[in-house]
Amino acid sequence: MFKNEEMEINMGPQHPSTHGVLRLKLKLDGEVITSCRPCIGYLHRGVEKICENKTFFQGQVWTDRMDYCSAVANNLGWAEAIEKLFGITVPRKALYIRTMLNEFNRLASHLIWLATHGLDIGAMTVFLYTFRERERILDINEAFCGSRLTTTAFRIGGLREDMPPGFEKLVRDFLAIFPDAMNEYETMLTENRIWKKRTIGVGILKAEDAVAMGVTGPVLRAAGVEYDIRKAHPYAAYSEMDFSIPTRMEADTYARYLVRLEEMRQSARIIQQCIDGMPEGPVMAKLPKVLRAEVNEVYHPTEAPKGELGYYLVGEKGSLNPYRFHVRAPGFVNLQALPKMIEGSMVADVIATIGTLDVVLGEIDR
Amino acid sequence: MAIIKVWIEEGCIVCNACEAECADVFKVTDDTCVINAGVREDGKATENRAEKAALKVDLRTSLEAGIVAAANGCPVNVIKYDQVAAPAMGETPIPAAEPPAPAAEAPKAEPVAPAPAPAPAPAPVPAAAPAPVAEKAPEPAGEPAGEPAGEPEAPKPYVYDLKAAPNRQVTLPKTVPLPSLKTYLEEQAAAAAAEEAKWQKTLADYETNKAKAEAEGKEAPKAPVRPVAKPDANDMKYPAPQPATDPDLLRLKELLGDKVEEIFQQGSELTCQVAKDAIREALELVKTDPALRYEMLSDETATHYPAAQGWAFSVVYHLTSLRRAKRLRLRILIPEGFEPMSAVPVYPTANWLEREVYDMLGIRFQEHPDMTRILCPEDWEGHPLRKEYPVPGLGMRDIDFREDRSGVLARIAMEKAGHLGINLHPPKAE
Repeated sequence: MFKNEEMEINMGPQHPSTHGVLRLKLKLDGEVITSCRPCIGYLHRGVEKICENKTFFQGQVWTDRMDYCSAVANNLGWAEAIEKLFGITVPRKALYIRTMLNEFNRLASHLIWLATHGLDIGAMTVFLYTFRERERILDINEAFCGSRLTTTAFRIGGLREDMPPGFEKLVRDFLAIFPDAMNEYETMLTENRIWKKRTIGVGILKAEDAVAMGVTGPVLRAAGVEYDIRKAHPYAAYSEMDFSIPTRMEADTYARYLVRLEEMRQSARIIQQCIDGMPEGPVMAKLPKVLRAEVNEVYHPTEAPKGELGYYLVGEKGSLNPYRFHVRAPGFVNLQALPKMIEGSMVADVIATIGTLDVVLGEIDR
Repeated sequence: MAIIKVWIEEGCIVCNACEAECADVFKVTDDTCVINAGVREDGKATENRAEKAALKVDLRTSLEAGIVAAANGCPVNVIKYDQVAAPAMGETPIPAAEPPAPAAEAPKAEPVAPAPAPAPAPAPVPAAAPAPVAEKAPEPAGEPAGEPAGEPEAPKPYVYDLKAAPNRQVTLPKTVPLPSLKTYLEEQAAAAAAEEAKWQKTLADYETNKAKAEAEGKEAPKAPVRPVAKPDANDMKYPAPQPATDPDLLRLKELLGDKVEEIFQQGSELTCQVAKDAIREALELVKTDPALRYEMLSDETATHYPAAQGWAFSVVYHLTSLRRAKRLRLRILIPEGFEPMSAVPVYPTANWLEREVYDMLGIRFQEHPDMTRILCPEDWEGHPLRKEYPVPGLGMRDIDFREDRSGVLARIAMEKAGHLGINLHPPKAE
């Protein structure tokens, strides 16, 4: 008995490799995917509506909970968008510390990506190695702001406090061990035959498609487009940092893996520059006790670990809270390109492709 | 609803926000905020932290809205209050409604009657709810057990009207905070004119007072000094809208002509507002014109302005030029019910972004390939990011899962719809 009809299957929302509650409706012809429709919204909490009814200070707490793997990057975007809305100048030392924490956050986020991506494909060991280093980054977060994941690290206008005593040693110790740790990950994966078989030529997204679909971050750079908001529209202290933008031409899952690994090395370089060239001075701008907005609208893009994280804010004259708050989540736009990447490939490649997009449903659904 | 007590916890930052909200109750002194003597039973003006004096009985209801607004607006959340469900009669606040012992003990004396399923204990009544049930409930328990009640009155099911709940009441915004160079200049001119008029009035008053003093032979009053704006010591400078000087904006104006309603710059952001029917043309132009070349649509979203006259939403498109590292905002203003042209044919990334705008604000786009909800369920009621939508939502949805414990009905519905689950249809003949 042979049937030659198409089969519809649901992948998720409860599936270990969908990184949260992503549901894919797949149409299969044998084992080949003919169409894919992502269904999202299972984690929708209405963060935008809630933040419109909270003051500018209170809203930052909600940004922690969007992309919970990179809370600091979300905090940075929120603080800077509001500073842009009000026209606040932040002291230079605060910018340096923000940049450093943001890069630590990028490392932590990429380490989680590497761990789960490897786990999805079947490389279990790398998970244990990356979480060893991530734990040290979380300790650094904790030393700075008291919490490990939901950091609420910054204040509007700067930082709540300067670096605590002993913080510099923590950072320098981490930088000393990190290159060796990177080599360990690479030894396990880069030339691994199974890894290459599962990733090379899988989930291809060419540059023109990526630009048309609005895809940003490492996925865009692995398609050969040299675009990084840290260079194109510098924020925090990135204009003073020396780093390069890694790109690859292959546009497949393996290329994205190499791009992210190189990004981690560049992040370590930026942290080194921050800690070596740390300026002196205050960490908080002089501000009135209560921030009352003026009529203004801003869109502030930042390079979060997953891509362009944009905050759109509208201020109302005399108001304590934003009139409109909108998040352009990188995962939301990147996920839109998933059907394009997997249609025509095998079911097993879906897992690898979701992993390489590095989706976090907390920010996609908000 | 009424407020019995209001007090200030430690940590007031003297921000004047509460006094601005409700000057009848709150007064800001040099180091903290206090509760006015006039509204208190004990007639003192302190923080009311230690003494916890009650508010005057006749003011408890009328001041409630102001106190709640001030407490919500307090940036450090030090304003606390005791709120009760109904206006308190006399001094005693309404005690928390204690559910009486359920009627389950009563059947002891009636062994003949089949043991009734224990009546559902009345749920503890939330403090905010009207409490008619609490008055009714004690009756069955209070009755002597021996009296055979012919038809024991079943406790009424407690119904809480979610849609009428007080925290779902919405105050609509009264202003239209749409950044615009024209409005800004008008406002500035009006403010300058008002200041000048005030100064002229001060001068005129001075002249009359002087003449009066001279006529009466008294000492002439001091000549007024024109107030000078104090230099701001803060590291904060409001980025005011400026006339457009950026070549991209000028180029758009040149290409689109009358269809451009306004171009201006604010801070580092370029804004071009075009006519609502010309948005597709404008998007095609910014993507293909060799001098512009905005390849990527970063973001598209909308804002609801219920107080605006003649329009209701602004839809904004944030464009990025990767080659030139520039950003541009296109904006249209549309009335309720207007369906702008979709951006999907020009920028495919607008697909999900426009679905989100539809889901959250109810704006439909023409020629969109798939105009369905994306974050909320398909049968969701209302569009959450409109300003008239309450923050806690419109209430629970009525889904009775008891009807379908085994999931059979859901399964049948899925099969009928033919788009969920494993495809169970028999193979079709080719």
